[in-house]
Amino acid sequence: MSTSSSSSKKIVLKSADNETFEIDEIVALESQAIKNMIEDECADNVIPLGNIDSKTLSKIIEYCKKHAESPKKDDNADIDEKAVEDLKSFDAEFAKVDMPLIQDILMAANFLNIDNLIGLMCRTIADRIKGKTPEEIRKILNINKNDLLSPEQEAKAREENSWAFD
Amino acid sequence: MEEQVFDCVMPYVQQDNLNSVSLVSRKYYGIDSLTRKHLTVHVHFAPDPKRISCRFPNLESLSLESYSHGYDTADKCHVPVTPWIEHIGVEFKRLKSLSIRNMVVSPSDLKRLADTRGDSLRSLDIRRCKMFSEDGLVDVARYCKDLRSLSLDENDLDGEANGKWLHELALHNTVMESLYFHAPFMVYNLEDVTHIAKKCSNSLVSLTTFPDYYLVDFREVFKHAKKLDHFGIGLINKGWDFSGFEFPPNIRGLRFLHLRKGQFPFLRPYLNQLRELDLECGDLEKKLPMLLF
Repeated sequence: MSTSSSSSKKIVLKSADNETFEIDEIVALESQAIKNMIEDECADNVIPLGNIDSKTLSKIIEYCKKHAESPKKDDNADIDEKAVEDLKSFDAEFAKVDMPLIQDILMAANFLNIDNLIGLMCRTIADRIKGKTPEEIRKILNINKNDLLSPEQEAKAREENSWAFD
Repeated sequence: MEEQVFDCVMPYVQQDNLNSVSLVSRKYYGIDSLTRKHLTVHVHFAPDPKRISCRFPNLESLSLESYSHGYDTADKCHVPVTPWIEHIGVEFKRLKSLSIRNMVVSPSDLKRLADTRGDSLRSLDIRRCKMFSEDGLVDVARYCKDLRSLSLDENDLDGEANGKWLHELALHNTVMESLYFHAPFMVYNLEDVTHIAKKCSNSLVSLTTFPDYYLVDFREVFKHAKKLDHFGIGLINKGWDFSGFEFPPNIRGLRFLHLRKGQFPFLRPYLNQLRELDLECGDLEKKLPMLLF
């Protein structure tokens, strides 16, 4: 099994809504889960991803492509600042999407085991709810009314919060 | 999906945002309850420790604070830590770090803490507390063998200090990383400090002792404590001969008392690496930059 000679090798991913995406293997390897599949030789020509829709999958591929292309830190200790900055601003732009898509990407990244992307999505969500009231957070994360604490539970929790801080 | 998302996000949420997050929904309340690691409790408003352990059963770090009534001194403290220590002995099985502020701490409290959490306690910080004697600290030193950080600052002691606790610490501890004690723990034996530096030479990074010994007496300590990066508080004696004197190689912070004019040259080799320098040298203070650089 060799991954070094296969830079031009293609992998096909199929989304839940049956759209197919042909990508370079090197891009697919950003996903630890796909990497394991390929290394265990249990990946067919087409890898079906039954729980990821095409909108989410295309975003994930966009991310993996960019990250696969940019030089890795451990390859070269003095990788130029510009590449790091470039990747940073790409990530910042990438995260400027609505909350449902962020959550979809997070779940998919979790399934595909793409560490950097999980971190990016988590930081984005944490940033968006930072300093917000419970009511605002509910709105941002679109929490179902049936999931709320009962008024009694909430009163008790609020009381505890008032003497338990940071 | 919501729960899974939040399982991932939880470690990224900052401590000061958790109280808001806990009120968002039943699931978030549940996740926060199980995952909260650190808590600062204002004991005046939380009379019952049980409610804390019910809500946050997996706490690893707990700070107990009582109201200081605007006083800076510890002798006005009147809220005993006893009910909390009793409860910690039974619940909070993961507790590694305990900080107590502005409370009354008796020897029996520390003895119970050492008896019940001696195996797991890594950090103990007692500040501005009213303490009756050093006896409880002897138990802490003897039984908390994994204790890596011990800080005793601005406390009030009823009895006389004797330094026995430090002797016990020197006998039993091999993992200390940060040791800080100031008044009223004024009586101690420098040999015990040296012994700690020797036994914890691979871990000790910060050492602050009550200023009772001359800096020159710490030569042995510095020889052993290879990783030390903060040291205080050394007295500088008149006419000190600093020839051949060396600090540990990584030293970054120093505190002295009574540094006099003309006594600065021993610091020169370290000026490039020092990040903190705390000197009380009276009239010289204004001229100090001139003398050093």
